[in-house]
Amino acid sequence: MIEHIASLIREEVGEKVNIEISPDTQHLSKFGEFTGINFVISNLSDAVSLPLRVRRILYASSGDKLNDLDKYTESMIESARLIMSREIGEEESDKWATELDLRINNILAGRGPMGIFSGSESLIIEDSHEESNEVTQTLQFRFQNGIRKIAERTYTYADKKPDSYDKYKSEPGYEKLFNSIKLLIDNSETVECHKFHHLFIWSDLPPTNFQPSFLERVVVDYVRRFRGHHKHTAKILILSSIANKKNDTLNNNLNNIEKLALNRAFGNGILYLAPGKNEDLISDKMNNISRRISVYNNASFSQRLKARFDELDISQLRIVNGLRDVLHEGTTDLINQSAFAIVSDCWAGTWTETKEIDGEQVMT
Amino acid sequence: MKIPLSDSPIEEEKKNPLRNISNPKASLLLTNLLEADETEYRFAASALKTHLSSSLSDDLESYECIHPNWFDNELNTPCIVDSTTCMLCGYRKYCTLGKFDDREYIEIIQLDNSRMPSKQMLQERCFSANDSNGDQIVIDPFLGFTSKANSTRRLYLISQENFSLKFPDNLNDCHFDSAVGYDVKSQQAIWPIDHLFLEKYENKHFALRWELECIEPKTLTSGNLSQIDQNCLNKIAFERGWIRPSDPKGFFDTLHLLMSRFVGVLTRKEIGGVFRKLAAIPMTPNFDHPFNYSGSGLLHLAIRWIELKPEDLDHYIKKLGASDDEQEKQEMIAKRLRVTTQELNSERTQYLPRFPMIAITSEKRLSEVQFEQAGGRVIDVVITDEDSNLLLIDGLGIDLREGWM
Repeated sequence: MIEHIASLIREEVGEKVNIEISPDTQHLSKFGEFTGINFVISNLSDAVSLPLRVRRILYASSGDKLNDLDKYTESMIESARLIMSREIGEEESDKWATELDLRINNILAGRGPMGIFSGSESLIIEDSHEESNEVTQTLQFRFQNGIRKIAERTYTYADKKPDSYDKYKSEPGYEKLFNSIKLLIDNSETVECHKFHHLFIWSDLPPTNFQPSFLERVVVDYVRRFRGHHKHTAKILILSSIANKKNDTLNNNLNNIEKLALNRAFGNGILYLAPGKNEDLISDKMNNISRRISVYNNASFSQRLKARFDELDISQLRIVNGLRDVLHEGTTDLINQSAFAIVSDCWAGTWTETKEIDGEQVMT
Repeated sequence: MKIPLSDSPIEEEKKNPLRNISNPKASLLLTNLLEADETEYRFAASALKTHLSSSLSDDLESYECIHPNWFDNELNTPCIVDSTTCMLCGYRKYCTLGKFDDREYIEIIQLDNSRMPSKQMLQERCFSANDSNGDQIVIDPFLGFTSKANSTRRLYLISQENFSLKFPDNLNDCHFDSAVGYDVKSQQAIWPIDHLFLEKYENKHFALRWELECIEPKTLTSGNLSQIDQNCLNKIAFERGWIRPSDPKGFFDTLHLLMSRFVGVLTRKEIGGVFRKLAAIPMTPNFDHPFNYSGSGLLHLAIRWIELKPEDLDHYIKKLGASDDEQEKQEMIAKRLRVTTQELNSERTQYLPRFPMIAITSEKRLSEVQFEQAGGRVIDVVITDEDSNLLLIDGLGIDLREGWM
């Protein structure tokens, strides 16, 4: 199944993207050689080591590449600290500078250098407003006691839009800080930010036993839904059949390590339903007309789905909490076997998707 | 047990240089040694060693050789060597005597009587990975989780059962994914918003206590929280067991009044607006605080204040001085809100970070592994043949023996 899912991802993302299949869990150094966008597809059981894997990639490999940026970030922090020291004193500004350094490290680890300039946790905010034919842009910096304007630029629609931070004029007192920020962004653009999308798969049947368009739908959704600006994303994909008759039992179930690995999933995922050819809702003409409603109202289908959850022993796990249903309505390649898929996020070693925290550090 | 964090060989003792020798017989014996073939070498080395040992003075550091047979010494006769004569031994390359091991290492300390896994198993399963050529290399599994990774430090080993006993959280019935620390005194996980609150609290706790004393029961006689906050408080109160279905009508009003007073204290002008500012930070349920419900930031701060600093709740009750009826009701609700705390030695750290841990367990005990715990997070799972469920913990610079052994 892993190879099949990999080939579907390949079709969707093209040849330029690296797809790594079932990497050796002991072969962590190999990840350091990957560049650009990478899909890492593994067996579900490997998810037990996910935090270790992600942190290792973040700190053992890309750390070296990011070291070049250190001098620019240090210069920016020092310039900002000097401004703050005049207002809140040396001791407090030193403390703030240390926090700022930590925050930048977290941003670099989670999103890469561009995370300093964009996104909800960014330190530098670019704002613009238009008046008649003129666009005024302001550059703001997040100081300890709030956001402040540090530079401004104006251009008309007739002008070519200035590149990057060109033509900005710094506000009095902020010249050194602005220059250090400009140097940082100029050098950040040349630092490659490698991205890893970890997918952990479990399936009870080989790919040929699933409706082809169903698998394609799940994979296309997965590829399009991943958050492009995060350095690491991780998801679990469960593909399972549903018994065609009540009281039928399906033998392929999760083993102990796979069940444990499912605990890495957060829940609030997506439940894809693919009713088979022999379901009443397909064979019954009336049901077929209002297929979507029929699926949800079909007690037998729901019961067999629930029974499969119970067989897999996942009914009490977080992965089935808050699931959003998506019905696969492709009928051209229907097969007998009904099936479902669950796609759920996992913690990928960093907390950049939330506003305040990253790893074990609290960010204000 | 010590596990080196490097494959590099042990280096020769740097502070113990070779001694100068200048006598004709030593030169002769050295020439003899250099010209010796494989069969003659040991005899030549023994002869040179015997000669050089005669000039061994007391100020030179010497030690007892563990291979006296090489030098034709009787096994039960001590053979004293120094760094110069030691190098003549055929076992020199493989012997650690007189060498200096300056490799970074991990020392594994047991915190309970659990059976220590073998050194080989730990080295192979926890501290090994393959490099890009497929060769095995030594790694520090806690890289990225601690700034002290790849440097000498202690890791701690304890059974899951004992860890759970030491770091319970009977208060928060939720997932601990985003918890950032642990309060040893009140035995509960700390969430990001708690961390920020506690930082501010340290500077303001005298002022807060003073403001609690200044509460005038007659000034605020009923709760004044918004409807959204009341709904949120109601849900949290039921979940926490502060309000029970059997409670008399109006019991919630007592809680509402108490919480309104605490919120009021946080917003007092005299406190300086620090908590108002903190409360304005967006808070995500289950991530920033342990609750599944959203209320205003001030309500969440007030609830967590009461839970993290129960002594302030006691102080409030003690200084309230309300009418008998109100005092009784407030005391009753405070009793339910009161988090039990344990006595803490003043030298012991109250707030701990959540520790990164590796679970070492057997196949049949896999279901007992908990990834996210109040006191720590499992970052990897190693399956062994031994029937155990252990945690290898990085103390993040904290000596976990404190209060354990």
